[in-house]
Amino acid sequence: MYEIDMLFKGFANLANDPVTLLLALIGVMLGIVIGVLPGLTATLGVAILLPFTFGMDPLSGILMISGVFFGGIYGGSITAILLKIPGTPAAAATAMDGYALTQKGKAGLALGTATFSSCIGGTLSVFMLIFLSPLLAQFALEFSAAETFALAIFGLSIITSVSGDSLIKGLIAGFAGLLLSTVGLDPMSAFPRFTGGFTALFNVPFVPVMIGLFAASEAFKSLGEEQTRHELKVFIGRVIPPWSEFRGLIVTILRSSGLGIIVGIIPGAGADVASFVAYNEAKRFSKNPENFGKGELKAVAACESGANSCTGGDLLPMLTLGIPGDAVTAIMLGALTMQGLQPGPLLFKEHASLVFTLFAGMLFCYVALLVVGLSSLRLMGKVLEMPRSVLSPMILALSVVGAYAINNSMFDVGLMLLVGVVGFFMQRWEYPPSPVVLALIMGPMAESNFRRALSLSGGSFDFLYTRPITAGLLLIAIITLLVPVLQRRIHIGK
Amino acid sequence: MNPKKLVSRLLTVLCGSVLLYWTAAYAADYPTRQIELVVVTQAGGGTDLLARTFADVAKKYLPQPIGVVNKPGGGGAVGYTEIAASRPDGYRIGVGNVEISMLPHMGVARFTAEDFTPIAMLNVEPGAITVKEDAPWKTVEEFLSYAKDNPGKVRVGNSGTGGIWHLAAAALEDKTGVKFNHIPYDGANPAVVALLGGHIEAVTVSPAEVVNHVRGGKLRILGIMADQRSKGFDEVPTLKENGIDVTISTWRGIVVPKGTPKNVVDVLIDATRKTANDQSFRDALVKLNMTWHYAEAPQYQEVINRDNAFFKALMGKLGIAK
Amino acid sequence: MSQPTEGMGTETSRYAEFIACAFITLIAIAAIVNSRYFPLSGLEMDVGPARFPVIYAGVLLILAAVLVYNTLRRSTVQKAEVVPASSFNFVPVVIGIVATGIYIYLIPLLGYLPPTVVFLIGMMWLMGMRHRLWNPVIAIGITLFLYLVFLFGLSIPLPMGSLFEIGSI
Repeated sequence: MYEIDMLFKGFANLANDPVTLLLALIGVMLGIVIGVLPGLTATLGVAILLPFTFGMDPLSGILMISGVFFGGIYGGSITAILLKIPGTPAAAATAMDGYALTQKGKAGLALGTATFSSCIGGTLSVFMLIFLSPLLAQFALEFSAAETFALAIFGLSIITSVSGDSLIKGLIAGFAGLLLSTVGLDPMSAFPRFTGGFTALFNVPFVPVMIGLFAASEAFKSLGEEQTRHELKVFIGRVIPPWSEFRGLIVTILRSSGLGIIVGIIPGAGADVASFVAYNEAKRFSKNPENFGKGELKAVAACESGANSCTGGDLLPMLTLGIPGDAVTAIMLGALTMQGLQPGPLLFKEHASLVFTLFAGMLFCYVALLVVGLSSLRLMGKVLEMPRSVLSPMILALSVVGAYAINNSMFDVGLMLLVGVVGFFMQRWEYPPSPVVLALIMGPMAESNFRRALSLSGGSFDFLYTRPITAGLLLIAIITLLVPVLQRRIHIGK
Repeated sequence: MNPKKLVSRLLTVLCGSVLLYWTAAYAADYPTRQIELVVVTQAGGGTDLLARTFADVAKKYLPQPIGVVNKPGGGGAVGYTEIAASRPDGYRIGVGNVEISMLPHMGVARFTAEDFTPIAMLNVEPGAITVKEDAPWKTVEEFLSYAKDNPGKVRVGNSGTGGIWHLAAAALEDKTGVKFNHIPYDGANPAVVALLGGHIEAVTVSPAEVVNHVRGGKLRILGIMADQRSKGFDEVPTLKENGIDVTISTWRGIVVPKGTPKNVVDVLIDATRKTANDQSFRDALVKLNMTWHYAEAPQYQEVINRDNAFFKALMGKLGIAK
Repeated sequence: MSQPTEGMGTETSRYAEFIACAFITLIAIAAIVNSRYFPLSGLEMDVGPARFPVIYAGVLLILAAVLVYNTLRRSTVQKAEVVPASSFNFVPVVIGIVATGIYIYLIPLLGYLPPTVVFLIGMMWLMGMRHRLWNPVIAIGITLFLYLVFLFGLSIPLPMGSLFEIGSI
């Protein structure tokens, strides 16, 4: 087969180019560090790295950027699992069950599963990129505003499955998040809503809100707890999951990877959407959905394989059509054009050797991610051995820096503190934080695309049921919303 | 005179002169520490890439490095407010886009175009009308006559309401009497994607933002909103050639807050001139699909003034201005 | 667990529910009132900037009402769940929040480094780590590490402090 042949040639090219491999490895490591630090996202990492790649040859530059991209998505999960601080929005879903596992003393197992799932999901997505690109490319263009709106509604329906014990409190948190997501410039008329005159509120500063909600609130909580209770010995334990455990995860990982790839291909939807969707579907297919949110290994596997398989999906329309789906791939598109390579159908024909060497390098990046990840987990796990009295102040300091770094704004830091206080009370009164994150991701997507779709259709609401993808997604959303309600009814009826 | 008083007076004079000397020396030695270059968009956008390239090349011509700092939000309102309000000492400079002549009229900004002193213009991109390759219109006239016959039916994508490409389409409406259905997207790129997918009929973004797809045979540029034809698109006529007097372009350059000392401005003007004319900077812009356009401070100021007046009138007419 | 404690636990959690609901209701009403002043969209066929916030706020009002109803019914019909006697102490939390607020306020004035060191030493002390040598050492270590990582690793300069701006030249 042509692709396999070319891929082997690509590996051969790479093997003769140790410098490129080293740069890719450095990229992965850098990405993991950026992902671990709250507030620093893969986008920022890629943007910072970009000028350094100008002087490199195309292959090294693009591979290093890919490494940062992959590592950044994965790195967010480490702090999410260990400390309940999602380093990236995608890891907010991982935090739910990952941190619960850490509390049960299974941090090592959770981290190892996250690493393996990330690697498998990412690798699968690169293989998809190699073999199915031309087939799937057109799919990205099918998504107009109406389809994206339906996807966002489906995403919002996931609130019901991340709500924890009280559905009503989950919904309240979700709708509060939705209301919060309307703060800022209106997507259609550019009118500033609920900003109180602060220009800094023209766009909802999403990352500071997330840091406040998860990290700062957790640190505040630990201030009030009796210290002795917290010095529990947490062992990192074995990081490589035993085969007996892992066997049960394979189906989940494969399904989540498939979902992640599809979400990735859709323009405007990225790893954050993918990990929540994967979580939801893993729960839907699970025999014991009630375990989700209480430390279910499958949830961690689903979120991480979903988020990382998104990377290949994101790259697909960028490489084959020259349309970037999100900020990271937009920068990569810039990097490619700066290197004199025009992404598009011709890229695969005119630069086949380079493209397949790139794919081989991406597979190498994921192997590197597995090795670097697994070997650094023990070191990362040392964080848990720190006394709480050092850890919590450090988390607060890190929250401040992270909230500042994303926009270089002290306003964001103040906002982070405010949200941290609100988050503290939410935690005390058992309002789950995940629906807020979900609402902040999906809310703007739902509103702007609904209104855009309405304009596109000339003011008619037909688009809700005449378009097959839209209608299908909306139907799934309704089912997702109704099932838990019905289940509860049946439960009470018993 | 009692000696104590004399000593204290002498000390005052001494301190004063030392302070004066320091400030003078400090200004003369500009720059003595890192210069912050504020970019009002998120990391990774066209403006950001331009700024990072500029900072990279400028290393050669300045004794201190330039660090790029992103202050996104509010379509640039956040960043420009911050640049305008920062200490005019040359240590915080900014990339000034066409938005500095637009945002003040929307009632969302706490600065005006007069709050900035221009250093130099680096890049200009005109607007253009782009349609799908398989669209029935081959020329601007065909496109506009179709739009005239079907008012409100032609969906034109732009990069955001009140943004430069929305105003480009609106100016076209204003001059020709057609009526479009404006569809705002979050930036030029999503609008181009929607055009590729056939969800809208046209976009009014710059040629640079569609060039890949034009070369790939998916999109077609009908007309360019500039005085002259664009380099690399020599076969595409301008709107003026078709008798439609619409010229709208976006530009990017380096600005400093008003009140920056002259010697500091001179250092920056000199370094910017050298950087802009450096071959590696020009090459990088070509690769980024950006049109290199260097203009000295006086011309840059003229452009700012002209656009400021133009957009004030246009936005007032459209009801966007507040 | 004794009966009175249980009763008291229920009372506190009921109060918490009511406070939260009152807060949510207040925000929702404020949002609806505020959105009355939003202009109509300049674009035809657009529902305008007020539509979505009003829908969200409306749903929030309904949800808050349902929660209040559930809470009232739960306390009368069912026995409420037992709130475990927690040894949670609010005083250090309030001190911590106020300290963080002051810390954040001071960063733009004094720069990143000095307030961070003081803040870290103080917070560690607050949480029971009170070592005369280790507290400052750890605090300075963490501060410098973060500062250097952000400055050199990520080329994000942290604030220098406006009071020191002249002095630091």
